[in-house]
Amino acid sequence: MRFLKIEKLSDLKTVREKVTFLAGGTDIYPLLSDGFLENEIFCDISGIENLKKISIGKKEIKIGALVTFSRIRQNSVLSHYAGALVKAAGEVGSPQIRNRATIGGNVATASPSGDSIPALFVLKARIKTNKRTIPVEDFFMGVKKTVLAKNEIITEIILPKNKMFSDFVKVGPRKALAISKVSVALAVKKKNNIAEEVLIAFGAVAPTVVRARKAEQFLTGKIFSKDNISKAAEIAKGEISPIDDFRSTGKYRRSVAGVLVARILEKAI
Amino acid sequence: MKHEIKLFVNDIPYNITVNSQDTLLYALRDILHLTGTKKGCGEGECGACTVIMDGEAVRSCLILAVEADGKKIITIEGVSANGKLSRVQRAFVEAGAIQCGFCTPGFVMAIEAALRKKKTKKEELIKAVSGHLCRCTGYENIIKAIDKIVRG
Repeated sequence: MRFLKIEKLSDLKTVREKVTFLAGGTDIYPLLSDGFLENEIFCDISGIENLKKISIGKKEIKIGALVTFSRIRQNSVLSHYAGALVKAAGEVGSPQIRNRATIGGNVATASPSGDSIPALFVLKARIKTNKRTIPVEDFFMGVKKTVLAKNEIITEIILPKNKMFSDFVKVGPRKALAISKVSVALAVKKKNNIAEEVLIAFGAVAPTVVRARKAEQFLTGKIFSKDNISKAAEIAKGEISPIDDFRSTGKYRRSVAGVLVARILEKAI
Repeated sequence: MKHEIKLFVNDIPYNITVNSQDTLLYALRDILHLTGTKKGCGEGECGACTVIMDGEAVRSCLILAVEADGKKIITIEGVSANGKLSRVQRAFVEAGAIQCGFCTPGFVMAIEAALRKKKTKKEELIKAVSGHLCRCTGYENIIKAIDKIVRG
């Protein structure tokens, strides 16, 4: 293993080898201790200061790729405009992991159970890299696969500054430091308790995030009643086909997904 | 690949040579011989290796030594002064919150970090140690130790 470090974004040009970029490192080191990455070249980008800013503009919120989950969790403006992301940030790993783990790293790692990702879907995030800006739904290609090319790194997560209600819930084997079995993010725009716009996204039930589009469609234009919510939850759980693995059975995941959708929608009443 | 790095551990500067793949935990235990910090799982699951780096509680098994270059680190050896236990350590002893003791340095450092950030409420301290594992399952007494700390 070799270790390089760059301090400026412009120094990316000097990196000629195929490298694994390193931000908080919390997803990479477990692999290292398992002996997987022995021939890897790491390029540490954690010193690039201008990727550590959260800037609140008139129409957009820009979160630097190196902003840690601890900082997202504590940001009061973000909790106003991006409740789902703030909530998800508080569910990632444990406090010490959140002190290191970055939003850019969570997105680039592209784990099916990455907690920030469903939140970014319902918040209509765009992923900015040193080369281009990509809508979040076009960013992920599969399990741990993204559209990022060689020497391309995420620089910012851009969120539209919408005053929508949004939230995130997950179920894991225990409360703290638990990988998600199922997670759900929701964003809702309401007028007089009628849903004008609804976005529901599932994490950890497929290689990448799945939107519950039929349930979204069902709720749009309808009253937020208990009856409509339970119907929507029933539709939503029919839109996923989670697999059996050593963490859970597909049957359990689908059942829990319905419960979570109902629970999160009830909070939006 | 070898790297020359400088660590400030418990206010003492050390210049050491590390390999790229060496973790901060390895540097503390096997180079500096500060063996109070424990290696449990080695992959961020258990919290036994928690230290304070530039004011934040972190898991030293999830940080490369090269990344800690120039950083200020506090380990369990650095929380007591002149042989006197810190208030957190005292609370753990008094509450019997130590069975085999292996997880204790990690729990103590997580609470120390929270207290240094003025988090003094019971819920805040419990949150600070969430994600720490005690294999003896001595959680009840650890909560009692936290109660003692909160009461002062």
